[in-house]
Amino acid sequence: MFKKYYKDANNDINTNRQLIDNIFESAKIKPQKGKKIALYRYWVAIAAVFFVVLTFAFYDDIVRLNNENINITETQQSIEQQVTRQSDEEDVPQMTRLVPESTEEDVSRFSRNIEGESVNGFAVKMDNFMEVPESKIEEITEILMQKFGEKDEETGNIFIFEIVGIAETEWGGYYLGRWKWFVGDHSSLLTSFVLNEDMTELYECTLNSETGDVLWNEERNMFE
Amino acid sequence: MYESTTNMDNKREIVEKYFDMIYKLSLSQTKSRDYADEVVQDVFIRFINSDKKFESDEHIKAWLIRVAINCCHNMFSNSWAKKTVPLSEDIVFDTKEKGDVYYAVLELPQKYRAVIHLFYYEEMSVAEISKVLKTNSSTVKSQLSRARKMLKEKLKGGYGLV
Repeated sequence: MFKKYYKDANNDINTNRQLIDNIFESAKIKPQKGKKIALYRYWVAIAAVFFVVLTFAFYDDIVRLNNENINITETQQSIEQQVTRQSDEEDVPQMTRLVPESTEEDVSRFSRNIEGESVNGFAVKMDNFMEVPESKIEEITEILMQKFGEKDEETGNIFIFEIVGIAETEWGGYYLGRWKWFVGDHSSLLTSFVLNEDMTELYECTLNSETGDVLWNEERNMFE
Repeated sequence: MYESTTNMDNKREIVEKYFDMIYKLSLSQTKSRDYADEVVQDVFIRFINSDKKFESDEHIKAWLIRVAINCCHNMFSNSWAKKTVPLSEDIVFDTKEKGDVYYAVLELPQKYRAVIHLFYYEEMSVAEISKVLKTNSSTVKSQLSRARKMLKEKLKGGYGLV
């Protein structure tokens, strides 16, 4: 039935056959684009060959110049990529990128009084963050899920724990991580955190890209 | 080499033979008589000016269909052309069923309209359609299946669509 009606409908349509004469008139005066396109292709091919020859001729120089412009190590790039993303939600702390602080020491500890509150933190240079082995990440993730659950009870959003790196200090090793959750089809940051190597203390932290500080309040151990 | 495309008289015969086919295909793709006119002219001017050697009548038909579909697609890639074109209101059918069916097809996405038109109106097989459109026959089957499903919903399950 559908086929019959569709065929009949199309058969009813009047086509504009007066165009046929027009077509032949236009075909006489219209320039043959084909030849122009063919010539254009030759020029493109010649230019491509020329470019390839130049590349081979100056290959060593190109590699040398390229290497001179690379300043960031693979580890730094990896860590930068992991901490640069910012949350869409307004009430989540702004994530800022860790940058090297201009201190003589690689890692230094300090206490600050911020708005009447004592905040302890440390400043870490990018070089000091080392990658964490996959097995350790899994171990830490398991502990955090046992402590905080796999998802938020109120919203049902699934939690994600990312371990960005570990910095060794004279007070021990500190893992730097990001706690996120899935909202719809994307993940959203809840907070950054530091976790001591013993995995007995976990603090929400903030990152300051200008100074390279990682700040947290030692009185708010989330494991207690 | 197919001799019939070598001189203008033969080319005229071919244009006259396939004009309606290309016009109706273009109309189903562009949903506008003005655009269909432009596409038809473009397709046949290319054919007339082409140095291509065709092997058979079927080869010519397939070439014309492919060029027409590409021209329709390119038309809507241009920034000045409207992305959404209103349905041609000047096509009036003598029965409600014809109108319902025709306009239901026009509401389908462009690529589904092409396979529906070639399958039901031109009565081409899935293999022929896939050859013309240079795609897999499984892709054509899948598009036909989805198009039928959409048409069934639009036509409220009527008109014998399975």
